Amino acid sequence: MEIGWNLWGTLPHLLPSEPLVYLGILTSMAKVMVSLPDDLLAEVDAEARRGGTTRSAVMREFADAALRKRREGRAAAMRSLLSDISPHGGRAAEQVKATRPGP
Amino acid sequence: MTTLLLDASVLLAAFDPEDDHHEPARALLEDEETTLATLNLARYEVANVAVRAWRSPDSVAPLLAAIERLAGDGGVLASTGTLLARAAEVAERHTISVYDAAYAAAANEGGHRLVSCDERNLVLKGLAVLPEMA
Repeated sequence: MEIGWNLWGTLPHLLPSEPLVYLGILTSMAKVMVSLPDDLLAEVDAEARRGGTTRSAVMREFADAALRKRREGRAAAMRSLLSDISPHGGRAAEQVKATRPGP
Repeated sequence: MTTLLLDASVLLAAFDPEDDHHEPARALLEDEETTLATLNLARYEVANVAVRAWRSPDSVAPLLAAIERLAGDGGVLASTGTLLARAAEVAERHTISVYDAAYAAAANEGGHRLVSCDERNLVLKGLAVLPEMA
């Protein structure tokens, strides 16, 4: 079981919802049930012991890191694709409408 | 963190320096903090504009490559029968095309925020926000 202090300095289970400060940001934190293979769970637990933290914190960090890496990859690819563009007259929304198939 | 669902106009604006929304649209595509998605309809729409309006078939490949990058981020959502049935309801309610409504329905279904350069049909009706407001 994991206990964290909320913004009001009280234990979260005393409140109807559980707003917590995570990475300096006020966010709500849901409790979820996740199925993991035994060997993967053992690795997660080993990582938690090594870092002196909790299983939940390790899984949060891994999920956050994976999603961040995915976004960074997309952003880098977009910078590359947008490095060599040319003007086309603007009015994108109107152009989309004008080139859709008619009734 | 809310995923932004981009319609075709945002993708096209990012690739056209003359578009009024070019800079904010481009900034969205290059933003590392936000997860981005689109609808598979966008593939047809960007290709159609590149070929028929821009007269620039060479622009099709980079535009489709950009959409593939979204597929690896927040995803390219499929226009399923269920989605289009909802889109038809949205189209009727807001007197907009089913094409525009499909983006709105997809955003609503996925809990995403729709971003569009279409002020008249989507932004002013409260169905989307402009890239600079996202």
